[in-house]
Amino acid sequence: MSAPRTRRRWLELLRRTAGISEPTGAMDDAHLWEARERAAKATQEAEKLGERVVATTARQRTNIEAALERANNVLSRRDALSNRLKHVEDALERLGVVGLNAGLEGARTTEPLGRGLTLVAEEVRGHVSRGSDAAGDLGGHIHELLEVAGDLAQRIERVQRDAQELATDATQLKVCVQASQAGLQDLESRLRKATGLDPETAKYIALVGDHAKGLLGALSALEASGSRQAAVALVPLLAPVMKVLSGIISEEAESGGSGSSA
Amino acid sequence: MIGGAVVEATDVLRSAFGLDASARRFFVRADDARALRYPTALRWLGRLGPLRIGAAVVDGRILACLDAAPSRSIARSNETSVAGLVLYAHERGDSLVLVGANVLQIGVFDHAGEGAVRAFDEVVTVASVTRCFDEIERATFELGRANRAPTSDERRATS
Repeated sequence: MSAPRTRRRWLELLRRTAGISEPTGAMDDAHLWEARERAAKATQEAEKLGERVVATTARQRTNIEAALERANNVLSRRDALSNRLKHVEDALERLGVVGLNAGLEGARTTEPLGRGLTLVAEEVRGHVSRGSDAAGDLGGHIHELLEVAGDLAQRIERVQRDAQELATDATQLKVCVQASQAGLQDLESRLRKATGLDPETAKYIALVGDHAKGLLGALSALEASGSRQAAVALVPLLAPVMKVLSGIISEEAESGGSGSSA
Repeated sequence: MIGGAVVEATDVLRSAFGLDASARRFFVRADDARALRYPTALRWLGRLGPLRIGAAVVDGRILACLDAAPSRSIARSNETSVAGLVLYAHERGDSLVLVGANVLQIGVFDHAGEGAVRAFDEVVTVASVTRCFDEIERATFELGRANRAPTSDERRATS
């Protein structure tokens, strides 16, 4: 593309941007691009977050599976624990019978041997009684713990099902984000065709347009305030701008006026 | 002085041994008693009648049985064995099992008159195993009569 043609195109864009000629909405085009950029950034962010959700869900599922395995492991020992406890109770009961018979033997036997035997038997029976109580308590606690473990396993299974659903949703989210990105790419190509702009140019146009409007407003206000000297003081600063604009305007005039839109 | 065990008196045991209704304990002689643990005790506990009297086969012999702690035995119904106190009626050559009887104390106790000892600062009756057997036989007879089929005369009388 030649330099005069480029300048013409710029001029056209600037005219449209500043609303000097027909208000064809180059600013709107630029804002459209800005909106597209924001949507693209948001989609990229959503993609990153989606990937994090997928990764976190995978880790969570691993931990849930491990917890469930542990809980089931505890539950699988239920019978073994019950049998062990039964053995303890059985042994204590046998010991109680031994103590009882020793006591009866002691009661049959004449003093002092019988007396000693009876005392030992009483001691044994006392320990057996305490041991039986403790075994009973232990059995109760084990039963409660196993119930808790069973409840825990059920809850973990429910959490596992929820995690599975979450993983499916996260995967679906990823697909949606990818579809959104594809849509944005399609939108970009259509915007290029419709506006004749690329994202970078659109950004500058929006910037220049905003500054031009601001400059025009400020100069109008300055003129209205009657501060002529202050306005004159700005001339060295605005002269290069005027020079650039003059060049663009004269090229525009030479090319025959309105110029073709991009 | 007499050696033996003081046992907690439940309603069943009071009834079986013919004890006073207020008796909280009774005494069994050491010569008459021995503790045993019976496997599959619940098999014959399940056959106990109204007086909770049943029969157990131990070492090939049929024993009379009194369940002194039915609630405990029944509550722990998955038990395959139960401890009991065997009482020997020497003159009869029979034995009696007190299932779940709670032995409170074993030792040598002072006599407190005829057929009684002093334990826990109380006069405690010495249980008569022979008397208990008589009671069991009576109860068993009543039970059998209640359960037998009516005779032809009785059937005619009621029709």
